[in-house]
Amino acid sequence: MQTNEIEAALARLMPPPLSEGAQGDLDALIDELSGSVRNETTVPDKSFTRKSLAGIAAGMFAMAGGFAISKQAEAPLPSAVQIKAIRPGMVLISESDRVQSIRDEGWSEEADGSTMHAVRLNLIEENRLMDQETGIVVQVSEPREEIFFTPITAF
Amino acid sequence: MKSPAKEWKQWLAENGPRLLLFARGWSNNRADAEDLVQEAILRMWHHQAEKGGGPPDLPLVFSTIRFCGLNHHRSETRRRKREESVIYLNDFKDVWLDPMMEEDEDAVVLRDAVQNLSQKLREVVVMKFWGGLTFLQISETLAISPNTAASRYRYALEQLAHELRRVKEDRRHAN
Repeated sequence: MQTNEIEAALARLMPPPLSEGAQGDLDALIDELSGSVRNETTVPDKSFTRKSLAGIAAGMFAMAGGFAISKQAEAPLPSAVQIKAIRPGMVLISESDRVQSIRDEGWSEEADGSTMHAVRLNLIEENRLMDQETGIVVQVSEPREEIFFTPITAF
Repeated sequence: MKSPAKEWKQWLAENGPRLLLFARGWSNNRADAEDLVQEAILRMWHHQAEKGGGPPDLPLVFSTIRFCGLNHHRSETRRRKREESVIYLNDFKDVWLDPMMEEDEDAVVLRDAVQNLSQKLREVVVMKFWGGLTFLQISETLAISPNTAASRYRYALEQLAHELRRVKEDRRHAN
């Protein structure tokens, strides 16, 4: 049997489609992901880096004459060094940290009676890793939330 | 201008079956293969976000499925070693390829023969024949030379032809 005959025979076989469940999951995933892209467009300046935000926060801190408290809303994510340790053979080739959205949370009163101004940041840390064995480069995106608290002092 | 979601869904409707077929080579069953496709799509979405957000090139998705599959395979191997007492049963109705004509016996034989090819040969056949990739693209996906990709394809077709001949002779002897 010739090669082209086998190819003709193979043409009679076709890959089955994705199941309805999987198709539905994928559509939902795409809808969800495209929703997060739309959120990204609400950021006034995409080149707005975390460092510049830190600068703004520091400025606010100086004006208020108080101190800024930063806390992570979620558990700390693994750093690049930890990723290297988790997957031997994976090399970190680049990393970035960008702000996806900023939301003013307004004023909140602490247990001790002091008033704080809260700003919630949605950040995305992106690491590009290369598998030394296959040469495949994979980008890992890790979203996280941070809230900056600035004390409100009496004027 | 199309929305990214619409563009991706259209791309998925066109390429979903060939991605699923490729993912089958890295999964125990259809459901796992579909999970693998979903994982690859998620990774691709983030990857493409830097490049305008459109759907990715097919060779890159094959690479990503393979990468995800390798990771799953490693963790699965470790898991199996832990759970040696578990017996996995094959789902014989869970086929990779559907013959276009149900009564086509040769197509059914060929389908089984494709499934029984070694992984190295099968992934080249899947990417070349159903994925529509060139040998150069396949070589880049698998990190092999284009000549090796072409050789594997030819060798796979020879094996399939041999299997088809063998089954036909058996059938003739039986009659």
